Amino acid sequence: MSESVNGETNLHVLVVDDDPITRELLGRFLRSEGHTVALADNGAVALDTFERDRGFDLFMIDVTMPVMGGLELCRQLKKRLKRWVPIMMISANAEESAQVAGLDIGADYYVTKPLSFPVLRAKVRASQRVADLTRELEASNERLSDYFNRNNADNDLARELLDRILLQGADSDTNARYIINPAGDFSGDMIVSTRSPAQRFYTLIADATGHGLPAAITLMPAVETFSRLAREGYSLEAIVRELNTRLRLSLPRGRFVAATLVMVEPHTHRLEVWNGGNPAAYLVDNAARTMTKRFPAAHPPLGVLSDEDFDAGVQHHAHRHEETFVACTDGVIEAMDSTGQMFGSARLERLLTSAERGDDLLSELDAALDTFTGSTSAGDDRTLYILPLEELSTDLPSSWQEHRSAAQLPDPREQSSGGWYFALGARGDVLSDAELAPLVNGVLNQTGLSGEEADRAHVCITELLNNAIDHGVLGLDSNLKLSPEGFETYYAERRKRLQSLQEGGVFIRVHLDHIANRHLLRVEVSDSGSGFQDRRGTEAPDRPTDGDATPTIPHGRGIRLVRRLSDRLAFHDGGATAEFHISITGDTVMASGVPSGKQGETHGQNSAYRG
Amino acid sequence: MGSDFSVSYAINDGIAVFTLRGRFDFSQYSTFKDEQVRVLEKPEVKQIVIDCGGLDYLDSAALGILLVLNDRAKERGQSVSIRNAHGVVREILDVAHFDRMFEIED
Repeated sequence: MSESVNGETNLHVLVVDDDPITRELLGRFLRSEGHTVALADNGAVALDTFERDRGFDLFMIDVTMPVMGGLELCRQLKKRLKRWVPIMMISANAEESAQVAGLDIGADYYVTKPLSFPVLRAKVRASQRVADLTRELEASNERLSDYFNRNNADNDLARELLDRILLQGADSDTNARYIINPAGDFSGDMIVSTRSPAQRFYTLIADATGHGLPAAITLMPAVETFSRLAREGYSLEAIVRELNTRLRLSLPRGRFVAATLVMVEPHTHRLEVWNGGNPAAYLVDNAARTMTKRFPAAHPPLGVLSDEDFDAGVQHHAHRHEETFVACTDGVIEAMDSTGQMFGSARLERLLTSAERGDDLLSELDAALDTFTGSTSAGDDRTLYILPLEELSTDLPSSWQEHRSAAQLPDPREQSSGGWYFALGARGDVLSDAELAPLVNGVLNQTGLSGEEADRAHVCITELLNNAIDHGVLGLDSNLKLSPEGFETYYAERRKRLQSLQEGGVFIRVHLDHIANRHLLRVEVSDSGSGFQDRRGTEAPDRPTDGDATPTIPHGRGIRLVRRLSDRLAFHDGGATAEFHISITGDTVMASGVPSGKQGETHGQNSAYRG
Repeated sequence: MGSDFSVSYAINDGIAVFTLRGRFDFSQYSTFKDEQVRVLEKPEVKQIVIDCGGLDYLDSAALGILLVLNDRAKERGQSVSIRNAHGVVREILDVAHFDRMFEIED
């Protein structure tokens, strides 16, 4: 097919007729109109011609021919043609039934003999126009399906990338359950959970402005930052502060991320929540159907306020094992029924405390939402997150072995063939933002310390540092923590005292020695306080320790824990220095100092991203 | 549910009042942006008031649009306040703690 001077398309036509006069007449007529023509005298010859030259734009076929008739040829051509090409049947028979038969088997036009050139010209032009339209349609279809396929492939790739980023962030296994209902292909809502080596469990429930791919991309810097800092055991305050800075730098104006962060520390029963711009989160006693705590948004979303205006203050709570943490995004609260009414937080709260509902909170809430919205399509991503705290209240992993007797420990006075040593301290006004435990644990990871013994060491270091800061430096009374209200007061007071701290500090010394095929980790934590006199409250005297025992040894929760998890615990300087030892077996300490352990492990189970 | 969104403004004594009506969501971005730019550029405008009295709903994208307006206005030394936010609209502004960025008149 080619374009002629007058703008009309020249066609390549196959004329099939057993009558030589008609055949020649048609050929001459078509050529005079500017078309190119091939001639055949029956259906079989025509098929041969077609097999050799598939470029015909129009077939003109006589119905009655020997060897292979026109109707059969028409049927054969329709079978062989990959695209639509008009077929015009020519017949001496003007009867309706013959025309119907031709059109029935796929002929597009029908002309009768004797041929009228004006009619023929008009029909050829008409077939031309339809052929042109068909071709345009085919071309746009092809472009569209190309685009569609490419777009699908791109989406698949994007989704896989996002999934991988999220999986890298996930490093935990709890009985948390969640449902994310994206409004489109990609979700702008996301849940990531991570556990630190010191057994702190962290979850981020985030909702980026809008939905779809742009919203999903918005979340990526947040995932990376959250996972890294949580895995290293940073405080929730430090994590939200960093998230805000990071998002404020990377997000365009007017874009932000509403976020609920929760941190649960099993052995201290500490639960912290930071809620910026998300609907209230709750603690619910699922058996009693009571709401024990509400965590409404206390801050604007992440990425809105400057560093100076940002408030990282978290809400503290002493959690009990019968409590369940419940959080959602605004897609739940703002879900609409067919009349435009919203689901609302009041309805959610009634459901949480309803005696009539079933025990499976997640499916009850999801079913209630489905019933409420009916067939109304979701306008926004909808996320529900349920975390029963029972498992996170049962102290430490049961696989952790109890400490061995001191007799089995390498003697630090024995000749060591080599080892690591470092010390770190912080005092005065830097202490409020100093994240000492993650720093120390980070260095230990870099020396190659990993596995269960390293995790036990991380808990001990975190506990002794907290103990030194809270009691030694800040002089806080841990009696306060005995009541739920006191728990909040305690941490509010801690924050206040830390922020106005002028003097005093903590100091940590770490030895990791290679002694006779084993390694011995020795950690000393000192504070500027005056020892056991600072430890008021729950620290009732217990049996004397090994080491340089003093009759009044503090036995707060933290100290009891360190005694259990370490292989040796001793106090010096009247209690202002605590020293613990952990024996490291096998070859967990690598000579190369290449970090190992946590980084590579991923558990997808608690990372949610559904596109 | 008034699903149609409209925005109009009036300027009196250097105070530009935007009156928002209906459902304010992401699809209204360009409608609002055009009006906003026109008003902010008027040298006589010293103060901007966003009247939410006729507003049924706003989504997070709409909140973002208001934040952008706030930033631009502040760059020009214009103050922005929000007025007549009730019901759902007020709840959404409260959850996002917009009182930290805007003056919210009761």
